[in-house]
Formats: sequence, structure tokens, C-alpha cells
Amino acid sequence: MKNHFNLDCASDQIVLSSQEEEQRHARKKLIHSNRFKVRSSSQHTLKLRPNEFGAGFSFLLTLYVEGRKVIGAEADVGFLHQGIEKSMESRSMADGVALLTRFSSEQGTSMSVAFEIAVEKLSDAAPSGRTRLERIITLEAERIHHHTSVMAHVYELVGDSSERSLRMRLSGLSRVDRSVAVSQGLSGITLRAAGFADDLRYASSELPYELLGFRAAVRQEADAFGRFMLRKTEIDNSKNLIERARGLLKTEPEEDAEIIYSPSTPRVMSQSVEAAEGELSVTVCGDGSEKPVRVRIKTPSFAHLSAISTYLTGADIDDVLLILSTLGIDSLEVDR
Amino acid sequence: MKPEHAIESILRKRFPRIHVLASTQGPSYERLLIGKEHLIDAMQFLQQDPDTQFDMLVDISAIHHIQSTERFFEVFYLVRSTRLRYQLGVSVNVLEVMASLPTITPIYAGANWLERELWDMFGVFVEGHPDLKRLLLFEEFNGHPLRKDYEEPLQS
Repeated sequence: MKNHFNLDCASDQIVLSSQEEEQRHARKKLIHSNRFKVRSSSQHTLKLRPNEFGAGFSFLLTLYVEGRKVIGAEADVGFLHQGIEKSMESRSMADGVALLTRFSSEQGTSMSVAFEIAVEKLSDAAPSGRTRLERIITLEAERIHHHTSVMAHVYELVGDSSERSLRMRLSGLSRVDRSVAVSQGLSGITLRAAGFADDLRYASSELPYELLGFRAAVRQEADAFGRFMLRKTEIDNSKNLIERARGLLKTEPEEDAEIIYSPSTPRVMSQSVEAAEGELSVTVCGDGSEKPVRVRIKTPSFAHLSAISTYLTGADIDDVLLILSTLGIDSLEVDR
Repeated sequence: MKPEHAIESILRKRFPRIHVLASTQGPSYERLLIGKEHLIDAMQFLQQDPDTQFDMLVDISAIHHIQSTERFFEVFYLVRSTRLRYQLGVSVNVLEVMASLPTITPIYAGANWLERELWDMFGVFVEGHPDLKRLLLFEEFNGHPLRKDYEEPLQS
């Protein structure tokens, strides 16, 4: 948890070596030299704090504005930091699945599915066809839930749900083209709304999307309107995928056996899944015991928030909250 | 669409200066271990070469190994080719004493926050980073919590 006010916890002073002192000094110099500089009287700094009315997020957003136009933005995160990666190291692999499912209401299922698959690979275990289809159903249900909640927030801010109003309000806002998105590590909706059918569901050998005739929806606008409309299309696509997966599930035999997570040899395994917002990657390092040595979770919200300046630069300050609402950032996933 | 040849052999053939210390072929992707001194060259090559095209950085993090006599961090970089739909893991081992690495932000802009988190959680100094400060913890925090020997300070 971030603690900007109570510095007493630094009472157990750690003695730094001269090299560490040098590093710390160099780092402080860097921090000061790289701070955004306000250059003229028409430029201002505006801070949106985690508890700001209507903000709906739990990070500190600093906007640099000139007149009414945003010319830069920075996010400060960590207010909800829970040390989930550290916590995973003291739990068994099976407990880890349960913890991750409950960790985030938005993309907890994606996290636990990616973790399960990574651990299965470490254990050289192969899940049944039934398990694979059930995973697709839960992932797609989570996608519907996530997109619906993002769209509801946008409807609330726009004040109307007609396509005409949405187009008028969102068109041209927050343009992020394909090359910028790729260089910033922005996958999922942002990339598909910029005309590029990048979707991990195409190349997934672990989740049989090809059996369901999956095709990624793509739009060309590369703006907030394109991203919003893509969510609508993806909800319909996910419903269809669930229906087809349920149909195939009827042909799969019932099973009682549980997969036993038991990594045999020390190895590192990474697994990505296409979560509602984009690529969610989990890396697990096992040493042969039932507890992981290290679990790393990289969420799409992390990538989105790290590129917040890309999304907001050039926007009018009136549009900032609306743009943020279209991004579907979950602060919990960033802080972990 | 998997690349025609293993990334390791492409690297060996096209860029012999980079020594691949070890490689493992996973079920859906490769992992390479390279020397720290070749990190920038390797990442630049992997991003730009038409046979590899690893244009997207997925993740950067580390594993702290404390069992061996010389403690070290295995810093791993996950990259993905959006065209070839293939993923690659590149690892670099750095000793715990004076742990530092060059930044890859000029190659992958998305590395900025990931390298800050690497510094914050492991104390691996990232040379040349444009804005190296803690990401999730506050600046006055002592220590780096994801190190295996980190102990939470006692509350007074």
C-alpha cells in the first residue's frame, strides 16, 4: 500500500553500500531531470486523485494542460498494492488458482486460467477436451461481463445509448494507431480497433477456439468510438462462442478426476490468454515442489495505464473521464 | 504461424556476435539465455529482423535465485510477434551484487513501467532509463519486496 504520509516505517534503516548510494543518487537526479516542466503561464497541472468524484479509479492522474487541451499525462499507481505475486509464493499451486479467481472481479478468470495452463505445462499434464471448452465458456462469459460494465459506464457519461449520440461524442477522441499501440505494448481492443486482427485466440493451442470457428472482430477508426463499438460486436461474438462451446460440451464425456498440480522439474513457463482488454500473461517458476518459486502476472490494464499519456494527449479536459471510461482499466490489476 | 527456423538458429546464423548460452523449446515458444552485454543488440535484432519480427514487448520481470553460491537474478523479457503469432522468452542472468542492466526503452517504448517495476520490486538498476523511480511503492520504502531475502520491517 502506498504511504505518502507515514514515513515512520523507515525506522529500520538499511545500511547502503557506496555503490547502492551512487545508484540511488543517480536515480534521484534522473527523477528531477525528467519531471514534466511547465513552460508558460498558459500551461497548468491538474491532478485527479483516486477519490475524485466521478473518477471511478484508484490511481493519481496528473494532467498537463495548455488552455483546455491535454499536452501530457502521468499516472501514479500502487494505492491498492496487495503483494499478490509475493503472496502466491507461499501457497500451493492449487490454492493459487483459487486466490487468482477471487483477486479481480473484472479479469480474475483470465488470470486463473492462464495460471492453470502454465502449471499444467510445468506438470506435463494435459487437460481434457471438456476442461478446455469449459475454460473458453468462462473466459467468454467474463469478456461479456467486462465489456458490459465498461459500456454501462460510457452510457452513463454520454447520457444516451443511441449510436448517433455515441458517434458524435466519441468519434475522433483518443486516436491510437497500430504502430503506436504495438510499440507501447497495447494489445486487444486498442489494436483491433486500429484495423489489426491481433488476437491470441487465433494462435491458442491450449484453448480450441478454431473448433468454434472463431474470427476476431476488427474496426478501422482507431479511436474511442471504434473501441466502444468493438465491445458491442465482441459481446455478440462471445455469446455465439459460448453457445457453440456448450454444443460441443454435450459430446464430451463427463469426468470426475481433478488435475493434480505437481511440477516435476525446475522450469519456467509463461502463458498468455486473450483477456477482455488484451493480452494477459502469467509466468510461473517451479522448483519441483508444490509451491511456486515465483509467479508473475502482467495484465492488459498495466499496459493501458502505462500508456495513459498516449491515450489522453491532444484531448480536451472535458473528455478525459470519458476516454478513461472507454479504456476499461482496472486499478486492482495494475497494483496487484 | 511459427517461424520457419528456431529463433536460436536464426540468431546464431544472422548475428553470430550474440552468444546464446542456453535455449529451451517449450510447448508453444522458445526461451533463450543470453549474456547481459548482448541484451541491446539481441532485442534490437529480434524486433527488426524480418525473420523474427518480435514487435511487441509483453513483459519484463525477474526471478531471484539464492540457492547457488553466487546469488543472481534471472531477468526475463517476453516478446511477441504480432505478425507471426509467436512468443519468445529472453533471459539474462545478473549477479545480485551490483545488479544492473541497460534499458530497452529506446527499442520498446512499453518497457518504461516494466523496468520501473523491476527496480521497485527487485532492486535491479536499469541504466539509461528515462525516469527510473519506484512504481508501486513509495520512494522512502526500504528494500525490494520480491527479493527472496526480503523481510518486512517490524512495526514499532
